[in-house]
Amino acid sequence: MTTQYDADVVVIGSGALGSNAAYELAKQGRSVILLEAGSRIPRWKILENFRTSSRKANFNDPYPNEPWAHTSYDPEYLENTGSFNFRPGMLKLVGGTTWHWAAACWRYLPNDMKLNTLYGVGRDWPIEYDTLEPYYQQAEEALGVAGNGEEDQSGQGGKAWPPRSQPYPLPPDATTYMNQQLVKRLAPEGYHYIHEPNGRVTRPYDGRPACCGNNNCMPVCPIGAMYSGDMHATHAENAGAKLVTEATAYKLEKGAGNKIVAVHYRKADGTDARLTARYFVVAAHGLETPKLLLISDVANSSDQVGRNLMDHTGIGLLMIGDEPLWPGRGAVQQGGIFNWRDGDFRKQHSAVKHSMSNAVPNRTITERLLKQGVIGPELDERIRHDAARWIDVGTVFEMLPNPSNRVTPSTKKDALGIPMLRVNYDVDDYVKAGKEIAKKDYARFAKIFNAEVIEDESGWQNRDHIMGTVIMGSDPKTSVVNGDCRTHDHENLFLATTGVIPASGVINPTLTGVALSIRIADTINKEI
Amino acid sequence: MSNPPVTQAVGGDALPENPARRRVLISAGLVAAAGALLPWARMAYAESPAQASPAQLDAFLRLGQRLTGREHLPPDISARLFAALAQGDRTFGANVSRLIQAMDAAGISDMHRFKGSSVDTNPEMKALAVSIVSGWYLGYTGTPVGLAVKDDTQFITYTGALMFEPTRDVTAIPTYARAGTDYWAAAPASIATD
Repeated sequence: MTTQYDADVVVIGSGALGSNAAYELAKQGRSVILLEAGSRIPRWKILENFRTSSRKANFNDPYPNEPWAHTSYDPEYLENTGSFNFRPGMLKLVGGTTWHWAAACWRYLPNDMKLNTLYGVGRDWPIEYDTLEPYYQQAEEALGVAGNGEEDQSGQGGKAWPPRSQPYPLPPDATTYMNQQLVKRLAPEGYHYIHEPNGRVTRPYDGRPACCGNNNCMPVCPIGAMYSGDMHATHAENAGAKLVTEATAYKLEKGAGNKIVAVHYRKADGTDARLTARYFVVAAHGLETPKLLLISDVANSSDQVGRNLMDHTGIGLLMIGDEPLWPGRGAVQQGGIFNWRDGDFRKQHSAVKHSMSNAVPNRTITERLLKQGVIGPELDERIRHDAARWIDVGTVFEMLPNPSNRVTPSTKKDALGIPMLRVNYDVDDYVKAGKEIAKKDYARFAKIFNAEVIEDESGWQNRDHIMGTVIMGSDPKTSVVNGDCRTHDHENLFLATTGVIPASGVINPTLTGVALSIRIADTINKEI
Repeated sequence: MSNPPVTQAVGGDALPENPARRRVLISAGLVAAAGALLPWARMAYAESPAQASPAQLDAFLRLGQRLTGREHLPPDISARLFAALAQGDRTFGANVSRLIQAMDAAGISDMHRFKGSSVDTNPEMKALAVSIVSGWYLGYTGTPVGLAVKDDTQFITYTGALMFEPTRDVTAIPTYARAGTDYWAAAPASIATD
């Protein structure tokens, strides 16, 4: 007798990772149901919400915060018990949090994936770079990545690295005047300024217009030149997937042979439904995915679900340089300094990445001047002077997995009666040692640009790169998923989230997450 | 760019030639309606200042023009700013009148005369002047709180925020474009004099 299923595959979460997995599966003729906790909001509404927001520095503000689908800035939804207010800007709506990212699309280095073997700290990936490389290429094509394939992205000024089987799908955007000037002054001092590969198309691509520098990648690209996950949610639907919105998964049901047989979800109106499938892919981001596993009591024989939480916790430097550079022309960021991306120093301290913001700085500058009481003709003069010379450096550090940095279900429940999130997060000595290195760089930057330093002790900052919470490894006793992102405990349950990443490096993890998700779809396709 | 003292404006008969003034036919009800028309429903129009007379709003508009050194500012935005700043502060209208009188008395017909004046050195008057300038420049009132869902900020204007004016020839107001793809590679036209 043949078992009947509601779908071949149920994908939970319609962000960039879930939607790419759903699309790849639907394209191969698989029946796919895509569940999304939030609503579907058209771009124009988000754009108008932004333009009429009184809090434009708050990237979650233009997005819905519903009692049944909170944003992460709601303190009720995400409570902290550690020393640091871990509060990434996560969204719940079709397309997920790639609605507001700056679309940095780096690949990990081969060495990033062998951290423990090479440097004796943290963990190795259970797969090698070569295994992931073809999927990186596919992910770059899906997201429309524009990049410079000629540079040594390891930041050592060597040959083109990491290795690529094919060129970037799109040529890089032209180097901004600011970055041309930055390179002129940083290169003689030994700093390697590297172009950032990014998901902003440089010519029309997949129905998207070329980026023309509207300078609002966060919190919303007004024209859709920048990639966001809703694009592949739509592609998945067009390929035959069924998208169900306002549907929050709250239970994965176990059955015979330790397989997952069903997912239970609750609609915003409180009604419940149960879906059966051959395979389940949880793509509910790095905090919600482990929470769903924990409240379902699945995939946790290792006791590692929710542990090893890593962000690229960072610091910042603000200064006013000695020449007009004019940040704000083009996209909000274009590159960074990668000298501390890889090397033997990783035995002692974290890797470090610095990037210079290219966001229009007028609001930050004007707020500062008004706080100083500057009004009258001087105000206009100073806004122009400072805006031309504003240098905003964002620094990130490589984190190591630590089991006590963790997310667990909260005792508080949302409007649907589903537990919300509790996080415990502290910054360790490996990162603190990296900070000392970064501060030395800050002093050198200030000297190179003869700068007035506005802020060089920012305190730890969120970077919204959630990793480690459903950690990948070869040993089922110490990890949650294997190198295929398949849970060790349940052969038909896969996790499509940057939460699988076991060694964080210093690069934005979304492209890697999409590559892993496409690889999940490939694995499931072969097995069905 | 100097504006005349506006003490007379409170009487409602100054500057009849000012075309902006003809648009200031704002009753308390219209202020509320302006709030209601905002797409962002957070504007607390129900609490808008019922006590604001057309003459007060007119005076507040011209005070804003004087403080910001602009000959013309949109009356609707001015009324919205008045409503936001007056919310929860019954003394706001009277304080505005005091600031106008103090500036007149100090002979501050334009802001070149502000620095070091008796208004500049009066903490209360200076704070009020900064809060009005702040609303015009930033396009919001209140204090934003990061990584949160609530604070006391109110939206006033976006594209009308004066903080963008000094750089209009070089950068865009975010979300808007100023030229095509890759325009940013060339140096700004003003670079030699910046």
